[in-house]
Amino acid sequence: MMYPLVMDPHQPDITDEALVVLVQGNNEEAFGVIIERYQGRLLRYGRRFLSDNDHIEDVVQGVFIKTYQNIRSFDATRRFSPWIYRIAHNAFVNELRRKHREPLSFIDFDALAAHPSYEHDPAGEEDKKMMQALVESGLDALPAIYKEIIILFYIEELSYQEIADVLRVPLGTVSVRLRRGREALKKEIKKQNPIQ
Amino acid sequence: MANEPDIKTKVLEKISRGDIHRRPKVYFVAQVAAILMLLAAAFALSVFVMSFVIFSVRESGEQFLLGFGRQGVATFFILFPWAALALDVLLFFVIEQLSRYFKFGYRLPVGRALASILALALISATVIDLTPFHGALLSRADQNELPILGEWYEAIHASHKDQGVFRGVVTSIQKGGFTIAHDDGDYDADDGAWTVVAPAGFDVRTINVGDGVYVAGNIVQGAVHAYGIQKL
Repeated sequence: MMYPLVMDPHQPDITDEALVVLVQGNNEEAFGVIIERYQGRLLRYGRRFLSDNDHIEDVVQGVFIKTYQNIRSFDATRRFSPWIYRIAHNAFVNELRRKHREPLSFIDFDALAAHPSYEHDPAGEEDKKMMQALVESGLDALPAIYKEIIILFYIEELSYQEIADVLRVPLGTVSVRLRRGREALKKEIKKQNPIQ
Repeated sequence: MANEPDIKTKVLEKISRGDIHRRPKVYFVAQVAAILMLLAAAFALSVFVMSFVIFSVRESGEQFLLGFGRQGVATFFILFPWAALALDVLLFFVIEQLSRYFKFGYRLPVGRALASILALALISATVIDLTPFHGALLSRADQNELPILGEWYEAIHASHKDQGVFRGVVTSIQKGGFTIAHDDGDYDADDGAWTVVAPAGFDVRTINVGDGVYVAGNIVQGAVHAYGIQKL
């Protein structure tokens, strides 16, 4: 799709991809609109993923700086959202490594074999709403690998394909990791509230 | 969003001050080209190593050990070029990691990606083995004209005295055995002459002076008591 370079970046219906084309064409105001659109989402993603991190604003600021530096590598025929989430994912993982709080496995066992993938959550919308509520209480206890996928699916509401592109894993891995994360979260919440 | 820190102002200020710049498109094109080149180089090297393994097993005669009974099979596994194979496996992992930069790479499960790389390398190596490529390099190595990989190629025709494996040309025939010699003119460790005692049931009349032979056996009082003999 071709976007005109003289659009008003403040138009409410302007797409992210059209804004990126404007930024690629030296329109810095358009980059301001991109920041407005994603600042809240990335802060929320980062706060949940990194939890008790005091420098999350600096990390997210770094994400926007990287986005600006690499904006010319973005292909505007694709969706912008997974692309910026990918940059954020890398920044958050680096932050985790820097703080040595979470040992990140070199071998991703979930990505070793082929798994069947479900484009739609097999547990359905009701389960999704329930999980969104549960996420608030048990997320911190989960390993980063499951925590992140739960945030991306239940909080950021990215599709399986978008998550696969953000994490650079096969679609089947998203499916299996999400299922394991969901089970781990439910187990954790049961541990916290044994009466329920 | 009023309570959120003013990231927007900070970033836009950095942009207007010129502290951060958009990288030119050519930077990204060069990055992709560099990764593709590395990928191609790693794949070419892995195909070369794999085709060398196939060529070396075939050319050295080690494949015959598999037909020499249990002791032959055990010796085959001892003599197999494991170091080259290990290098190839390492290269497969490098290729898999490099390919993750691209969609076609990360969308495949790691196991399937590695299996695909192995299949592709094996097919390419088999095709290369059909060409005179390694044979030409072996000839150059035999004439001491292959400086870098010369030792790899020279080892192909070497006898392995410790394992009782010898190859050479029959120089004389005696009752129940024969004598072989190997001399490729370089006066190194693979040169020598050995007396071979043929195994029970082996018809020495099938062997003629001048024949190339591959012999596996146990050394008893200086003679090779063969458990397997193969004419080359």
